[in-house]
Parts: sequence; structure tokens; C-alpha cells
Amino acid sequence: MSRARGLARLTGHPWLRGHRRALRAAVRHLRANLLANLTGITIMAVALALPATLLLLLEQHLALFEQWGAQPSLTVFMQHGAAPEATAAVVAALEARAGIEGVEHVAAAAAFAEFAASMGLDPAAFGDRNPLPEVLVVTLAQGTAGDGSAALVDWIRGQAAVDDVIVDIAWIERLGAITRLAERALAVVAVLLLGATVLVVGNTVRLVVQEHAAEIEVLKLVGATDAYVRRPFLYGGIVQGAIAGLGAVLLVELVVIALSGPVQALAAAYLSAFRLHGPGPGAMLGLVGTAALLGWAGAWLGTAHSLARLSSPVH
Amino acid sequence: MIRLDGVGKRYPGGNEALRNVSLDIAAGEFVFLTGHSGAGKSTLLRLLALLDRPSRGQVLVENRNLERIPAREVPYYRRQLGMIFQEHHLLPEQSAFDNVAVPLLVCGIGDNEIRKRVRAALDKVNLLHKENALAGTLSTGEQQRVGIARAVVNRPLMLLADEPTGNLDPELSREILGLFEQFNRVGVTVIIATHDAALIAKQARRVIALNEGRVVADTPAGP
Repeated sequence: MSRARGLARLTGHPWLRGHRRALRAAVRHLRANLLANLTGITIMAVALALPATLLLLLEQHLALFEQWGAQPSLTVFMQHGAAPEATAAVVAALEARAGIEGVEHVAAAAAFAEFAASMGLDPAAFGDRNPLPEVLVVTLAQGTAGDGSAALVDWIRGQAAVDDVIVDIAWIERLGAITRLAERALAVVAVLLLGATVLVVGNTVRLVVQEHAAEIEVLKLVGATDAYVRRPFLYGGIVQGAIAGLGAVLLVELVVIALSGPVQALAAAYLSAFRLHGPGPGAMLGLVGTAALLGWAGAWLGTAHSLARLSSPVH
Repeated sequence: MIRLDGVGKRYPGGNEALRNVSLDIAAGEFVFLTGHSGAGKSTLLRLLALLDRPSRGQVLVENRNLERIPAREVPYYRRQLGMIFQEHHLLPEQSAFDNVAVPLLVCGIGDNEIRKRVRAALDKVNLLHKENALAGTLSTGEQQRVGIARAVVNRPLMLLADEPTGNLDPELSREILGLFEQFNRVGVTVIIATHDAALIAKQARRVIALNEGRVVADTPAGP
């Protein structure tokens, strides 16, 4: 009983009442002008869906990348006919260095035997003339790709018994660089698009404020605070943003559905069970929340300009 | 209640709307401000409503120097006033009821209380039967009465009216004036700016005459 009365007192508080009325007015206005607002909402939804989709793809691409966990490695070719002692010395030196997980010595004779067997040849027919060199496969510790490995490659190349080094980590580095570039590009695109949505909402709200100039003037004459005047517009921005956010979630889902077939086929070709996933509930909520926040910011921008101009009514 | 002390107002562009105006208006007084258009009547009302600030001098209302009211408190100050304009500033696409309710909505008053007070205000101006009519569809006299109902619905300390009978014929003007007298009788200070000499002549009220921004005559209320 007393709790109910306390609740009634709380919901009947003038401040809360003002917010409730502002929200109701905003929804009423939005419903009355749905068609006009639909354009703005659609633009905003598309502008949000684009970076959201890219982010989703990039995130899953990164996950795939980590899942492969390709260990960076170097292939070292010894000089033809290098002395076994020289090869052993290089192996020992490499094993002593930091950042190296292991060195596998592929002996020339064994490699040739394997090669001949796979080709169906008789190794005896070649006599002593083995065209293959001694090979060392050096597995680097995770995360040493980059500058550290370049120094290592230089050191190895400097060894007298070494003929050449092939860097198998190059593709990983390139992939990493491309990924970083994509991430940066995505950030730039996202900032531009989100900024644009704020401006779109701001412009819509500015026009609505202008339409209501007479009403705002009356409000100010009878003692409305700026906050009171602004409130329905801010709620309008939040509601518009939230609707656009839901639209963006829908669009992202549609893109995922459209891409998932080809992506799965591509993954299957690489013997991967990778599947494209839609955004989780947290990401969806985040998208809607971000959109609502952007709508609010746009509405603030749209009212700030007009309110300053209307702040001294009737002249 | 109201004191002006050496008040001057110069608008950008050099127009001197008020020059060294000093006067006192007591609580509960009924005052006419007269003068040709451009004499400074509207400017004086604007200063009292804090729609403008004076360039010189001081305006005190209830011993409060209006100069010391910061911009963010101006709305709360205005809630103590009722303002009526010649072009009444109603929202034509809203009902008479909704127009009168605006000052109460702004203050965050509850729906039941709003209904009670708006009806009472419309009843006082004899328009309760038109509460659902859109303001734009009402006659000029009715619109002015809705404007008055809106001005008094918040039980203001003073009513400021700028040419409230400007668009009305003599009979309607007398009716409107009768309303102001009603509110004055219950203690509301009333200040009416008008150039309608015929209207003023019939009343035995205090008349402050302005000319080119100066007070040129201050005739006290007659017997």
C-alpha cells in the first residue's frame, strides 16, 4: 500500500512526468510523419549496417587467421656439397639463438631418396650425383615475424656454408599488414559514416524545429526551459536512431545470409569448417544502442543551432 | 512591486526605445501605458518580461533586480507572469484547451490538476463550451480570450498586456477590459499597453504616458 503510493509519487514527479510527456510527444510526432522520417531512418540504417558488416567480417577473418595459427618458418638451403660439420655448426648456432622453436635437418640423401621414390625412379641410376642440397627448416617462435626475423635471415645468409634462405613468413606478414590496413580503413569509414548519420539526424531535427518555431516561441514565453523545449526532439532522435539500429541489424543479417553459402564453399575448398556467423545478441544490442546514441547526438546538434536563434522570442 | 530606476534601452542600430524612465507600480495596481506606436510601451513590457535587458538603469520586480537573474533562471521568472499580445500567439492547430494548458505542461503539473485549472480559466473567459475547438477556427475576440485564459491559468502575480484590444471592436474591447478588471479585483497587478484613448478615457485608472521613450505624464487613478 505505502509502497504503491511511493511509486505513484515517484512516477508522478514533475521531472519524470515531463520526460514521459516528451517521449509520448516524440513517438506521436514520429508516427504522424512516418513516411517523411522513413528516408532518414533508412539512410541511417544503411550507414550503420555497412561498417557493422565490415567489422563482423573482419572479426571473423581474424578469428580464422588465429585458428590457422600458421607457425612462421624459414627454409635454409646449404651450399651444394657443404661439409656435414659446417651444416651441423649452423644447426647448433641456430638452436642456440633465442626466438627459434626448432630446427629440422632434412638430409640431402634422404630428401633425394624420398623424391626418387615419389617419382618412381631408381636412386641408384643417379650414382653419386645428388642434385638436392642439405635443407634446414627453422621454425620460429610465435610472434617473431617482422624485424626480429629479418635480422635472423641476414645472419643466416652471412654464413659461408649457406646458399640461400626462403622466408615462409612473408605471406603471413603480408596478410597481417593487409588486415591492419583493412582495420584502419574500416575505422575511417566507420567514423565518416557515423558522422554522416549524426548530420542526417541533425538536419532532419533542424527542419522539424523550424516547423515548430511558433510553438517553441510560445513555450519560451510561458517559461519553458531550454531543456523542456529540447526534450521531445532528443527523444525523437533516440527513437529514430533505435529504429535505424534495428534496421541495420536486419541488413547485417541479410548480408550474412547472402554471403554464408559462398563463404562456406570457399572454406570447404581449403578443407576448413569455417562458417560465417551473424552478430550475437550483445553485438545487436550494441548496434541499436550506438544508433540511439547517434540519434540523440544528432538531435542535440539540430536543436542547439535553432534554439540559440529562438532564445529571445517575439521581436 | 515594480520599480524602474533610470532605465534606458537602445537597440542595435541606435534606436533609443526608452530614455531614463523611472517609475513605481504597487502590487495590485491597474495601470495603462499609453503613447503612439514607437513610444516605448512594448519595450517596457519586454523588459518586465525579461524578453530584453535594459541598456542602462535597473528594473526591480518584488525587490528583485532583474539584472541579477541569469539566463537559465529566466524561464522560472516568466512563470510568475501572464503575457497577452495583440497577435495573441496561439497555436492555431491545437484546441483552446491545449493552448491554455501549455504553461501548466511546462511546469510539469499533473493531468488531473491541468484539466481542473484549464477548465476554470476557460470558464472565467466564458469559453468553456469551446474547449475542444481548434484555436484557428475561433473568432478574433474568442482567440484573445483564449490568450487571456492562458495568461491567467498559472495564477500569475502580474498580467502584462500589449495592445490586447488592438484588433477588436469597441464592444469586444470593453468585454476584454472587464476580464482584466476581474483579475485585478482578486489582487493581480495589471499593466496594459494601449493607444486606444477612448478605452482609457472611460476608466478611472492610473495612466502612464510615454513619448519617444520618456514618461511625459503619470496620471493617478481617479475617484
